Amino acid sequence: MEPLPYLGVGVGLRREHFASLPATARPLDWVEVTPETFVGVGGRARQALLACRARWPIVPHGVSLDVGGPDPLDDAYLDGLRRLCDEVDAPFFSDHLSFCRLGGVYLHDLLPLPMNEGAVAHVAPRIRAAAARVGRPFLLENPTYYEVMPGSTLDEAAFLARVVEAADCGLLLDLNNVHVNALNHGYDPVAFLDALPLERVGQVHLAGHDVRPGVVLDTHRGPVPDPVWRLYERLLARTGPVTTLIEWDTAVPPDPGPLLDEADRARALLATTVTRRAARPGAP
Amino acid sequence: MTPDLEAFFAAQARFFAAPGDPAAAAAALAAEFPGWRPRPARLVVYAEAIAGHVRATLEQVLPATRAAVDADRWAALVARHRARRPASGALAADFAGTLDAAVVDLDLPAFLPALARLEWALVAAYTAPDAPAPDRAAVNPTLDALEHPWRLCAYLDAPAPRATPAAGDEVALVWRHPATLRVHHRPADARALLAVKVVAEGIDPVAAAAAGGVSVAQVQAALDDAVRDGLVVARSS
Repeated sequence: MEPLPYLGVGVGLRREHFASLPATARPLDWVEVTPETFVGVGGRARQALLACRARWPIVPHGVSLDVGGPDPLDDAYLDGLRRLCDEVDAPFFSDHLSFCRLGGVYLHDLLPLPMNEGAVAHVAPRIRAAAARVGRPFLLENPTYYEVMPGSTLDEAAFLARVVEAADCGLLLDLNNVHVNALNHGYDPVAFLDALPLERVGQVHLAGHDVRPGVVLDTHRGPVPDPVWRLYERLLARTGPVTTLIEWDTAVPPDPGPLLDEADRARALLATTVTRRAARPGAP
Repeated sequence: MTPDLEAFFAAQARFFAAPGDPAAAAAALAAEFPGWRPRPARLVVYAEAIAGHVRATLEQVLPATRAAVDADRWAALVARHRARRPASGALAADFAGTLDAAVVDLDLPAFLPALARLEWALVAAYTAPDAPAPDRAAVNPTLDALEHPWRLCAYLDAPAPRATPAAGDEVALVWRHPATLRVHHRPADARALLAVKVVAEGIDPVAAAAAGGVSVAQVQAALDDAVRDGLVVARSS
């Protein structure tokens, strides 16, 4: 896997911020966009995309690539994704280890796969094909799952590691998803991180969630909770600075200020990480 | 793909297509895999999330269509609808087809598919790709014209919901203004249609005036209004 550029801290471009985000005077290093919102779309969405592109690097992060699904990869979707990546000169693009389409029907959710070698053999070539088609490095995100699917023989960390290694792709590590899965399935999130090929982590997602009776839901609502920040600090101590995104997709504030506050906090932690690593004995 | 994985996806397809009670569907899914002991409530999360997303998106994008149907029939329509596009915001694009197929057996109002098409046209105009600036006056590429035997523009614009739209043939024009990017809709009138026809077919205004029995000044005024309203995009300078 080729080394990926370090971009700093970004936020997602959401409809609520089409006008305000490109005009912000606050620090921001890059912007994530969902291709499903921008491919083949004009008007205000495109104006916002171009205005952001003029100021920051843009990274497409999709939800409909369907690397895990049984249907063939969607040629039209891949063509659109390639056009978008080319237009914004994306340093990489990403999507989730999940499926979202059955028999041509888009379910518009990130659905979990059985965690076993058969799924690894199914997913890895699809990731390689998608990355080749788009012509950019690909990062695979660890999804949440609310139940272990039948036929699973690998634990989550082993499954994730097997897929990214077989596909030779990067890992987009969503630390909120790690926290949510740890709560829902009763595992130690730190041990989970320890079991991953962290050298493949090219980007981190930080987000919030909802606690419901009997289950914690990955909703990307609200500020990043403290346990997720603590996981982030632990990760940075292991990896050093990693491109980081603040995700906030539910009950999005009308002004991007609260998202940028979270981005400031992440940036401060990244700076601390750099300082600590530089202060280590033997550091160059 | 391994046979086990194929069986998994087939079971998932049955689970998500199952009508009615999500808990019953979850129990049926669990029963397909001996030895698997899922927590049914966790499977219900997925069934409810997917159905909830379809319902919420349709209700956001097609509010008048939703308001014209009672809760039970709306629930049946949501359950029948299948999204065929990768963008979740576009899952309402094909909903008029779902309505077409359900008008008789769900005893839906006959105007409902046309209303859904009109509401979707508003979204389609808002998101339509940008076109390069033309080198001569051109019909706005986001312009759509929908014909139906109801006065649906007035129905959409009514301050209070009405039971049914008035009957009467209508060509509804829907477009995104090239400067303001606002989406507009209105019934077509003779002046707007004249301006669009003159521009689309490259007809000389003098010839158009002669053919229509109006003055050249009237044709030019119709063209000027069409440019002002955004139905026609003026030549880029």
